[in-house]
Amino acid sequence: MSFALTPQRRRWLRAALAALILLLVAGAYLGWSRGFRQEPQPAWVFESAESRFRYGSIGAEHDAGVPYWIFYVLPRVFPEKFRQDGQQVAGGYAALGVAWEQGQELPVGFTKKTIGFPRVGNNCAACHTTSYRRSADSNPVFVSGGPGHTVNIENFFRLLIECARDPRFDADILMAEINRVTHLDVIDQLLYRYVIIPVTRKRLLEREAQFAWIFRPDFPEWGRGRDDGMNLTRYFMLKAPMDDRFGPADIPAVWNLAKYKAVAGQHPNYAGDTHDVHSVIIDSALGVLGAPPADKADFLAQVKWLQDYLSALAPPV
Amino acid sequence: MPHRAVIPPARWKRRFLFLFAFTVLLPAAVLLWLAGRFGGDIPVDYADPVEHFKYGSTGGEHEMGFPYWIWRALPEVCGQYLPGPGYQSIGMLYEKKPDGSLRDLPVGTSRRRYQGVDRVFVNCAVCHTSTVRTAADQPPVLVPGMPAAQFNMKAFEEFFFRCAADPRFAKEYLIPEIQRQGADLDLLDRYLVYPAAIAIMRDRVLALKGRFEWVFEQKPWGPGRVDTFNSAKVIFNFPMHRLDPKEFDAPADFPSLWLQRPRREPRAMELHWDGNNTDMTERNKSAAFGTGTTPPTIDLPRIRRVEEWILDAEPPAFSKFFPVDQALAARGAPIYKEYCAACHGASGRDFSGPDVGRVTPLAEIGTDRRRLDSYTYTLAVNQATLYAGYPWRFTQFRKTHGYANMPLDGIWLRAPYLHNGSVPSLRDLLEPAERRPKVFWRGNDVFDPHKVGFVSDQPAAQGRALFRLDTAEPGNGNGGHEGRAYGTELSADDKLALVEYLKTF
Repeated sequence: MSFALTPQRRRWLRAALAALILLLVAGAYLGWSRGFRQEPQPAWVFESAESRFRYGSIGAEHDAGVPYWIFYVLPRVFPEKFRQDGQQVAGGYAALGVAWEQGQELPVGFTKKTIGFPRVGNNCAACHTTSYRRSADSNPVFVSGGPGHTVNIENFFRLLIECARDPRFDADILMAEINRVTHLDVIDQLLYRYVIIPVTRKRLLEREAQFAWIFRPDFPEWGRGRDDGMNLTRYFMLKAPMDDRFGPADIPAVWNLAKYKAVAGQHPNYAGDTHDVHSVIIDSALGVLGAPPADKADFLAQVKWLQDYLSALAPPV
Repeated sequence: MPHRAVIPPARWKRRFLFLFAFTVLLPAAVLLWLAGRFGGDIPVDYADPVEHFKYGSTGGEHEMGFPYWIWRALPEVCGQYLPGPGYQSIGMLYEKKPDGSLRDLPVGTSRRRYQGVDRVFVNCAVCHTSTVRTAADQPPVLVPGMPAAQFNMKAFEEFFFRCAADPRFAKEYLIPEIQRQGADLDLLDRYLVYPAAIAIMRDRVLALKGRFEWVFEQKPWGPGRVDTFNSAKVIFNFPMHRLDPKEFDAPADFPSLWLQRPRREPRAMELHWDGNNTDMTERNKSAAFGTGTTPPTIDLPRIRRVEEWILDAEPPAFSKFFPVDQALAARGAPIYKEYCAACHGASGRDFSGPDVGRVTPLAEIGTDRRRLDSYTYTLAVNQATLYAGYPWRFTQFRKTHGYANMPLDGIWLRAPYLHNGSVPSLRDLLEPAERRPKVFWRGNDVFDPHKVGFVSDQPAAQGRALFRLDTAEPGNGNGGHEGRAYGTELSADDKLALVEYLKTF
């Protein structure tokens, strides 16, 4: 029998090829749409400069972002990992001492952005929002730009990694909990089960190596309101080999940055290690991103906005 | 070369048809049958809104539903965990059918066929329907929408958790009991569906048991009460043993559900005992968690029917049950206006008043603080994550620092009084705390028309032990709402007149 391309066979082949291409295109579109398509944050985030400072994305969802539904169920699956001073504390993320406004889906400094699928990242406000109450019997007031003296960020870093290390960080267990709180369509179900959950786990475990120093028992706890900012820079960003230096420092207030006048020799940062506010913001923001920015121009625009906002932001009287 | 037999085309055709039937038609038929048997999601519906309230579904059966026959068999198989025979012994109410026999399910339970099994779970009415009798020898009258003053929720929860942990929660005990009750299960149900359902249900209930361990450690709530917001913490799997002890032992009375519309319009009142939410639909969806619903499984159209009904449902008039001394009531009206109206509304139907539905700070009202302390800022912010991804995500829960002033529609059927039901009657509430009963019994449905409240000095009724409420126990404090402004210093005559006037609400 000959396999010569008769006109009839050629027609079939062409149709099959067309179908295949169509399928590939549809698949590629679906993959892009569910995996990478960026949606702007909702309008309310940008309603005021303050809401943008508190909930606006600075691009941290790309690499340091946690898929929204994983973030959502972690406190339900791993309540024992939410701790203060070595003790388990009730309250999910609230247990970490974050500033959390009533009625808000996420605490201050936690941003929700859809890049293919909703993800949660952080911004500067997570550390630089202060909280006070007028009496034990009153609700907290949050002040943007103030030092986050209640927040325990070391525990936040640790708990994400500890969750990923736990054998219960598993698609069956997480999906069971996710299906109790929302309805995902078939594609998202498959995506979460076979891609998002395993990849998130892998990414978080990769962080473990960069964060090995926050698990060292010979280093003191940062506790609330403190951050080992320079070690974050050294290990996380410069990928320096680990040594025995540590230096947790109070989270500073970042309002009224215009007060630092480089020409007059006024330096931000505790050790006065730079005279340039712009560099400090970039360095801190990169720390929040956890990786080089996905969109450099956008990142620099965010930094510019932050510098303008924080330079003019007056502390409360 | 051997000669090959040529098979005639007719035989090929036959073979093809045979193969087709075997590989396509048969599996398709099986699949179709399986889809019919195990697919579908069909609740039992009622055209009448009151029947729907009493027996309609909120969607809780999807996640929490008990297979119908297991629900029926449990009180027999696990009878040792109930105070008496049947669900009646924990205060569930069975209505009579027209032929005089009892219905198969109590008020406040609904039925839905889901994944091939008829399932039963509770709905709104289980906590918001009760009965009243004018005298011990009179028949009970069922009142939908009134607080379920006889239903013991803690005993209900404990019954299921204890039963699921009992070795008798097994097909060897349950299925014979199911058959004895006349189920007549078919082969598939008998040998496959029900044994699997029993195993799955046991697993599920036991998995939840850890989250509800704290309930066992609470002082008894007794009938008519629930620890609402500690139960809400279970949704988030808060580590309950790590909570501040002052958050516990916070039972609150079930409220009535009548006349919600004037609580929403013209001004949205602060709902719940501590006024922690001003959005009625959120309040309703929050309460629906108690009927086993989850965001993806809640049956919103059917809940909406209940929401519609409670907007305008009215409490029954006191005068339909007992006489009201109109002259005395008329004398009470101005006293009410002077002392009560600003906080409790102009009348039983007119809820206008500057402070109606607003929170009075605890320091001022002085009632037991445990219910207030059980609701924390931490819980409030976590509740804002509920229904995430849906347009109706909760946004209105707020931590408050006092208790809300309630309108008084149907107040006679809302005894005992104060948020924790620590004062048995309206007349007692008009006494300063030290002269209010220190101990009384809850759960009687016989009404005392003089003091206005259920009979509370009997330790038992109709052969059932009632609940002894000791106001010295944590969460049961009967102080507060007292002093000159609260009418506790009125003369005895004025108090009588005021109580008489409240009978018209």
